[in-house]
Amino acid sequence: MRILVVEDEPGLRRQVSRALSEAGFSVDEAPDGEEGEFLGDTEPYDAVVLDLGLPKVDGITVLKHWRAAGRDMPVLILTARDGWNEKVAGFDAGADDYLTKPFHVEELLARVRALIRRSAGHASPILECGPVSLDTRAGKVTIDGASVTLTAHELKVLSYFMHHQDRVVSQTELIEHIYDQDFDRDSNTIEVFIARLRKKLAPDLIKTHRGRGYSMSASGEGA
Amino acid sequence: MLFAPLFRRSVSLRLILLSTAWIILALAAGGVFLAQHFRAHVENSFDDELSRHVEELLSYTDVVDGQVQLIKQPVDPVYLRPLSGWYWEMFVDGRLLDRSRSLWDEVLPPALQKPRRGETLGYFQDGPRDDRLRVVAATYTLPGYDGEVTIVFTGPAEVIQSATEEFSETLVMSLVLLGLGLIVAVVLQVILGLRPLNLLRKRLAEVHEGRTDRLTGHYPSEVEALVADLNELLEHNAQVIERARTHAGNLAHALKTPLAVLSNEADRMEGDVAKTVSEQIVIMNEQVKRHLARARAAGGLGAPGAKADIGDIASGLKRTLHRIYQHKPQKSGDGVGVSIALVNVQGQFVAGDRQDVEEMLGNLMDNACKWAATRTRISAERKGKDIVISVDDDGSGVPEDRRAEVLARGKRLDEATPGSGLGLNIVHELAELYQGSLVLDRSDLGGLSVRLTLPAAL
Repeated sequence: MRILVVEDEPGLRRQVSRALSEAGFSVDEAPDGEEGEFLGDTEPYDAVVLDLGLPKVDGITVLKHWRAAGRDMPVLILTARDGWNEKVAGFDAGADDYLTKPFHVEELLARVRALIRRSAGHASPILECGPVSLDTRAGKVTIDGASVTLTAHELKVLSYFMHHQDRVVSQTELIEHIYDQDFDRDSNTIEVFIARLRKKLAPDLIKTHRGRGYSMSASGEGA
Repeated sequence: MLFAPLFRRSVSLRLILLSTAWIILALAAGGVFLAQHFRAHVENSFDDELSRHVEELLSYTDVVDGQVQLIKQPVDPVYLRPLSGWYWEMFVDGRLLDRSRSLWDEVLPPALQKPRRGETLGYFQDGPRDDRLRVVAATYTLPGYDGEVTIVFTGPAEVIQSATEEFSETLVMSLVLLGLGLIVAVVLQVILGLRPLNLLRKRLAEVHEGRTDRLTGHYPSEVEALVADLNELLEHNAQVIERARTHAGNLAHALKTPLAVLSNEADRMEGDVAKTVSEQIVIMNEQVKRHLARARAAGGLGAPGAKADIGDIASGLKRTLHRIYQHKPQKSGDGVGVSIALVNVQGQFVAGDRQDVEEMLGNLMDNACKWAATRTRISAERKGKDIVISVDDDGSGVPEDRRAEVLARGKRLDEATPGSGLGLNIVHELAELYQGSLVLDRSDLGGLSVRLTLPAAL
């Protein structure tokens, strides 16, 4: 899962990015509205953490531009401005959630996870696919109740499939949502991760669709 | 002076009273002057007529053999009617030569003053029957006679008197009518002339009541400058408030971001220091929130003419709260979300700043959604000069003996539900700034009913 953090205060930006990375997200950072808007326009993010008081272009304007251009990724506004008029303006501009500073990192993580989950159509924080279950809050994976240990990258790949079950996910899509923009991307590593997941969980859990990508579904049929 | 307080209070009354006094004085003086002038004029005319008669009689006089003789008597019948008041007498060297038939057997009382030779006198004197007479007497010398001839003609003074009185009556009546007309004109003039001021007063009242935020309408040039100044002042006020708000917002931003950084660092650390820092950050944040809310609100009072549309504000908050609480599990059943019903909020206006009202209503509605099992209701009702906004929920409510606590600073009954606990307290303080009130009660929906009373705008 790939997240964009747009925040002008370097200290807070670092903290938020670090916390999100530690929680298993790939994070891109933008220090101002202009760069933030460009990244949001060009990269496929699963969620955005957006400050309102940004240099160059303010957060509300950035959000309005994204929504007008049809960019519908979930956006969490993170701001010091806690007036109701500002909250109403934020939600009316297309925000999905609103968190005021100061905040606890756990609160932010919980909200980001919930946003990603809901935008993929899942109500419960525990995602299930056949025998496999993923607790998005703790990043714990079990198969038939037995705990499985995964590396950070394996977890990222599995998490993406768990969020987007019953549809074909191309390799490019997978790469875009798993690595941040500075990562040296290599499509071969994806194949390695998928092979390891099949080995650790179940051989027929992830199906390969030649030339199209992969799919994961409880029935094993795929899309 | 009895009028002194009233006088000082009303410009209209001052103008009307002064004008009325001046009108009465001027008309009275004018009346006296006219009456006197008229009387003099009537006397002169009367004297002229008598003088003609004197000259007529003189022409009938002749000197025959050194003796003065009257050849003919005046033919005017008034001098024949007995005791008519129209008399004449003719003296030669002080001796009565002849007199009018109208005198009958009377003589005119001796004249008070005798005209000298060649002189004509006009005066009043008593007649033979105690009536007043107007007298014209003249003394002549005749050719061929050494002595002097004095001719006296009289007419009843009553003629002059009645003519003068008749005129005076008409005069007084005309002057009274004229005076009344002038006073009416003054009153009209004052009312019409001061109308821009009255209009200004009315518009100012409207601004004060929150119906409009600036003075509108056309005013004459004398008042226009004042109106422009007032509008400038109102605008300046609004700008000052806006600036204060921006400052407050900037301060919030400036303080809260470092607080967030500190708080997150403290969260990552362990031990007593981290705990103390975390606790102090919470206190600092509550202080910042509380004082910023008040700083923003206190500005709202300085802006007369502000009005807030409850319908508009409630709709916006409803949209937002729907989003915030759309995933909240309902306490009964397994549905999610909270329903928000708006009742009779359209077209209701509070005399106050929009942001302040939005802040109050937002906190109340947020609280209601937070505590509600499945539904909340926001209703507004106009009560006299106030608007009562009720925010109800179907949650567990607050027991009567703990309601005062909820309004106290930073108090939260249920520590488990997120929120700083400042919500109701801030609303309470804001409501008091607006001379309103906040009352907690049991709701017909089952939970808490919060009634916020604020001054209405129309």
